[in-house]
Amino acid sequence: MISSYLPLLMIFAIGAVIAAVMVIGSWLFGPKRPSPAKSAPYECGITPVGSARERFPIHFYLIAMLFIVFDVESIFLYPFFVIFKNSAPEAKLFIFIEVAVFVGLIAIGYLYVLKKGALEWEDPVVNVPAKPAQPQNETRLSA
Amino acid sequence: METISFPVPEIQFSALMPLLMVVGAALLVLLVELFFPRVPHTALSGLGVLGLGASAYFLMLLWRNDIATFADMLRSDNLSVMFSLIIVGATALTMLFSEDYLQARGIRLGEFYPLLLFATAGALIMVSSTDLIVIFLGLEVLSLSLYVLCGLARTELRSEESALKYFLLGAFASAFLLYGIALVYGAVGNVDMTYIASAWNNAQASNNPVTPALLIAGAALMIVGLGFKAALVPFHMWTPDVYQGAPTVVTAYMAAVSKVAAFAVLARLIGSMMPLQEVWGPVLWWLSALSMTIGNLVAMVQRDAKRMLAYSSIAHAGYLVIGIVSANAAGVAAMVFYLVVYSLMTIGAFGVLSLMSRAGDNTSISALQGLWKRHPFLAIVMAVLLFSLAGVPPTAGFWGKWYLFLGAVQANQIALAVILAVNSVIGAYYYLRLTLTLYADAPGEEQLALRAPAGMVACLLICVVGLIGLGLMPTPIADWSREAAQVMESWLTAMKP
Repeated sequence: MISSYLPLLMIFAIGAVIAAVMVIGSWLFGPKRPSPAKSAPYECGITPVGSARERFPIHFYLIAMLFIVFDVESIFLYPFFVIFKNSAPEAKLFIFIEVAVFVGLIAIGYLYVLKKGALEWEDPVVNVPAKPAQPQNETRLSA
Repeated sequence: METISFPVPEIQFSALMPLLMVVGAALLVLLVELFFPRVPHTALSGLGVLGLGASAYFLMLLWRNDIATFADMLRSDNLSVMFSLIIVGATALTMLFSEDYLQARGIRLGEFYPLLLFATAGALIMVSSTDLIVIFLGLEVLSLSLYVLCGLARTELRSEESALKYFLLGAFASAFLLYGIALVYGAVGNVDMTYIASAWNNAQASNNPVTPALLIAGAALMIVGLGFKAALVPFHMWTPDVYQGAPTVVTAYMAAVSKVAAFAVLARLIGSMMPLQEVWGPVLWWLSALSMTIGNLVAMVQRDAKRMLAYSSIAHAGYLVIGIVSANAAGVAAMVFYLVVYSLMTIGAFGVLSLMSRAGDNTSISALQGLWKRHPFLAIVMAVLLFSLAGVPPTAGFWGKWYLFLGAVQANQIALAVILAVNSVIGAYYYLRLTLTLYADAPGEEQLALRAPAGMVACLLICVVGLIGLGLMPTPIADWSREAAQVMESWLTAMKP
């Protein structure tokens, strides 16, 4: 049983050895003449501009998070349609109500997101708690 | 194309109504706050309390009905009704005093109430199922809401820290629990915990070593996951930081509800694993002894009242485990009774602290000095709560410990009973010391007069009257607890090898 996987293991081992020999060999025996241009990270042939670790607006995260929720919802709808179409008539009502509840809950979430302005790119109405006593001087990243 | 035979489960909505009420109230509050942002938040909390009241009404209708519906994924028996009632009551008590606190702290966010209700729904799901996947689902609903609630005061570093810490460690613990569920499923072939015992017995009879090994590993991982949620030593490290950093209303809620839900699941799980008693018995024995001892000893040296209560909640979790280690109906009944008492004590105590911690979130013990002069009512209430936490006779805390003690003695766990008694004495030391602080004169500084809002007074009155009432006549609740624990008794006796 397990011995039938031996050829596969050997392919992995040989592959690892060949790759290691090539990388380590070129590192050991290859000539090293560094220049600033050579030691710069490779960016598709274009000279890199600044660091990649920049701060960027939090909207990207927000949109990505919301995208996942609705994306997963739409993925669920495909199996629903397939099962709904091919199921017995007496099960159809049950399946429909189940999915209606699911979609309805997410629709309420969508209403919430929309009304809170989480999808507005220009000037989002962020949910900042009111601070009556001492005003908080927060610097806004998107400015 | 051939038709797919889709099994339509039989649904009894009566078992689902309590949950639907809570979720419905949550959605309603969310929408009301969304479309009418100017609605006063007391109205929102009022709506929430109404929903909880409706839920409690439907729960009472379910009492003495055994219902398993949704293909046995949702189970409503006396035990789940009792736990659900504790959870719903604790949530309502928290809601009573939260609005004023949130306003004073400048975190008047409408999302607080829906999140609290969603967390409650998660806890309700956890306590009313024996299906491990459904339990996990409930746990995640509860936990995710709590992570957000902990970070509600998001401009404060401490609240942020608390949320992040709770999230990272909680996600870790959830992973443990889920892996445990996966292993148990691998061994049993079913995600319903009621099949564990027969799988174990069959494996022993047929001399099959794989199933027991998988079951033990799965059970161990699940105990780790639940131990984290219930804050048992050695999985308690997050508790003081999270309890201290979170807004005090959230701490009150978390300390009560999250613990009730975790213990409900733990009790059912252990009940379903009776044939494995020699495996988990010693583990839980040590968890209990360590939680009691370390919780109490570390609480003694705390300077912050919130941290002290956090450690004391760890010690109380240790007391509660005794009910499970006893593995008899008396023990489980004692645990249920103690959870009622514990919820009242904790929510009341954190409630008083929430009033103290307005300015600069100062919850150090010295800030409580001279409470007697500032607000006599609060000082009396806090004294009763602390007496009950310590287990002084005229309060319900005494009966809670007494029943646990009796359960342990009945199960011949004499050593554990002795450790419980010793720990009660250690606990009494720092609770009574804190009580004395309330009546001592504060040094120098000018004292601000305190104003207790109506909701707060109502909540504290319920806690204090409940504790003293239960202390004077514990019989009704104790009888109900016993009746609830009978569900476990049939499990415990039927599944013994």
